[in-house]
Amino acid sequence: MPVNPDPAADQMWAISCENLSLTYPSGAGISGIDLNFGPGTTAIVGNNGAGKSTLLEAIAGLRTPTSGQIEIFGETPGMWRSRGVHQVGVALQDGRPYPGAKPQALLKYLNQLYGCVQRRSGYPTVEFLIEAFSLTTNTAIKNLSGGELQRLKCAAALVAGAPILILDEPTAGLDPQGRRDLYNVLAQVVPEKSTVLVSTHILEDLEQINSRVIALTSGCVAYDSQVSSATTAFYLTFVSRSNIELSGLRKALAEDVVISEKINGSYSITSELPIDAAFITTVMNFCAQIGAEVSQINVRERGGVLADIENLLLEGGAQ
Amino acid sequence: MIKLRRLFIQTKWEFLLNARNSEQLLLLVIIPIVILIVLTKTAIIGGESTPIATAFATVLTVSTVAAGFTSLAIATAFERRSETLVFLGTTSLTRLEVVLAKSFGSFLLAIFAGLFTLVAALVLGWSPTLGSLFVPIWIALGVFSISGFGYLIAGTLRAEAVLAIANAIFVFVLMFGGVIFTFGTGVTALLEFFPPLALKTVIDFSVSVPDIGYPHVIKAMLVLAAWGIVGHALASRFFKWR
Repeated sequence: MPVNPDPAADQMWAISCENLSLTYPSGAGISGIDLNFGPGTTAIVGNNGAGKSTLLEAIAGLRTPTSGQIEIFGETPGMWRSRGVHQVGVALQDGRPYPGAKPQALLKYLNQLYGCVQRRSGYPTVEFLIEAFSLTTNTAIKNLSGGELQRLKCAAALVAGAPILILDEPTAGLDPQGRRDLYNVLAQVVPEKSTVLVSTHILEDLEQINSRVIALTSGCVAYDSQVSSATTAFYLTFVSRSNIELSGLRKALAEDVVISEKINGSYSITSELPIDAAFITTVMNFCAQIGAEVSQINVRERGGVLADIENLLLEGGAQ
Repeated sequence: MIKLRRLFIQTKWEFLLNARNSEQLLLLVIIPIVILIVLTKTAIIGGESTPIATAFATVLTVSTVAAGFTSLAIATAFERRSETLVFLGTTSLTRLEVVLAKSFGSFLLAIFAGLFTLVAALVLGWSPTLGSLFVPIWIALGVFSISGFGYLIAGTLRAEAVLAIANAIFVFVLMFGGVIFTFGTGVTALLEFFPPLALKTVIDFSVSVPDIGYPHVIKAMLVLAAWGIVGHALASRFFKWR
């Protein structure tokens, strides 16, 4: 799957979520999500009930947000649908669509259906997907094993030929070998420059996905690594009560850095170059100039991300 | 916005999936043809055999109810349970296209079943009338009149409950809908305000030498249209996609 690039602040995001909330009658859901996604892969991790599926289904246009908004390439889901384009290929976690049909027939029918909308060039053909995902052609969908069903759902999402791909827990119910195999196939068949969101609650999957990682706890973003888990990176985090103008700080640093939005009162700057004393001084001076009081400054190297997420999810699970 | 090519592809898919189902074959072809033979060749019902044209109208009504209500409701309910409907929401289809394709698919199923019945009726001695050309329109109106209620129960109840209720209603229509068995004037006058007998009235008008007056037929058409509007309005208000 494509590795996450570092999107510039002013580019058109593939997906943009602004203050997104979706509350169920039971009270669970997601709350105040501010996230942007450019081309590349992002893993959404979290315990069961953390809001992963809700977030992905809201982005896919399957659930209507209670508040906030979602834009796909600058348009709301209703707008791009009405233009007759299909921007999002989706593999849902639950369900067994058309159980009486056979996989090949389902994919051919979907291929015809998506033939009515604009598809990006280089989308995979049905024959290619059947071979790549090792799909059986003569077994009804109701008789497919869990692994075969997950592979079929991924193939069905890919046949859409959409620039955005959403895979909700594609490895649920698979053994470690099955998970590795699925990610290997996805790495081969997902077109370049796709924006891919993959949810999982299996942290070992992150080693396979090689992506930016976002952790959700209780419906909120608790962690955003900003960069691919395989990229060497250095982190400077600090807490500030004041809101900091990120574009100004980015200019002051004059380096290729990613600065996260404020999460739980904390800012995080990610750099692929080591963070030295001069770097920290620049940040402190900028904050001092705008009167922002800074505390709990922390610098660390890449490598702590998975451990951090694990701790975070364990804490979330213990609550 | 409805895209006709997409609607055609989805309708074809819906029709082929249903037509390959052996239970559908029983419901839409076998049962109606058995009814046709029983009505025309025996005196079990009503003490005397039924004229072939009237029996043909009866059986077309039965297969339309089977396709437009029973089969549609059960298939939709199980698609809702298997999250096929949510899956369709991830495709390029609009909700209106999904619903229209299901209704058109049911209409095609009723026509498909009607072709078998037509052959059986011709073998049993039915002579086609010019009015028979209108039968597909009446079948379409019949599907419209009852499919809204099929969606209503499919979109609000559990699949197992829909299976039981839809079949029970189908049997109830066969027994007490005024389609196969006739009742006294008062009861018949009441049943004329329900889709099964209204549908049989308009089909009978087309396939037999009509002794039914035009006001009677127009009333039946209005009854079908009214039930269709009410059923679809209720379905669009209460239908849950998952």
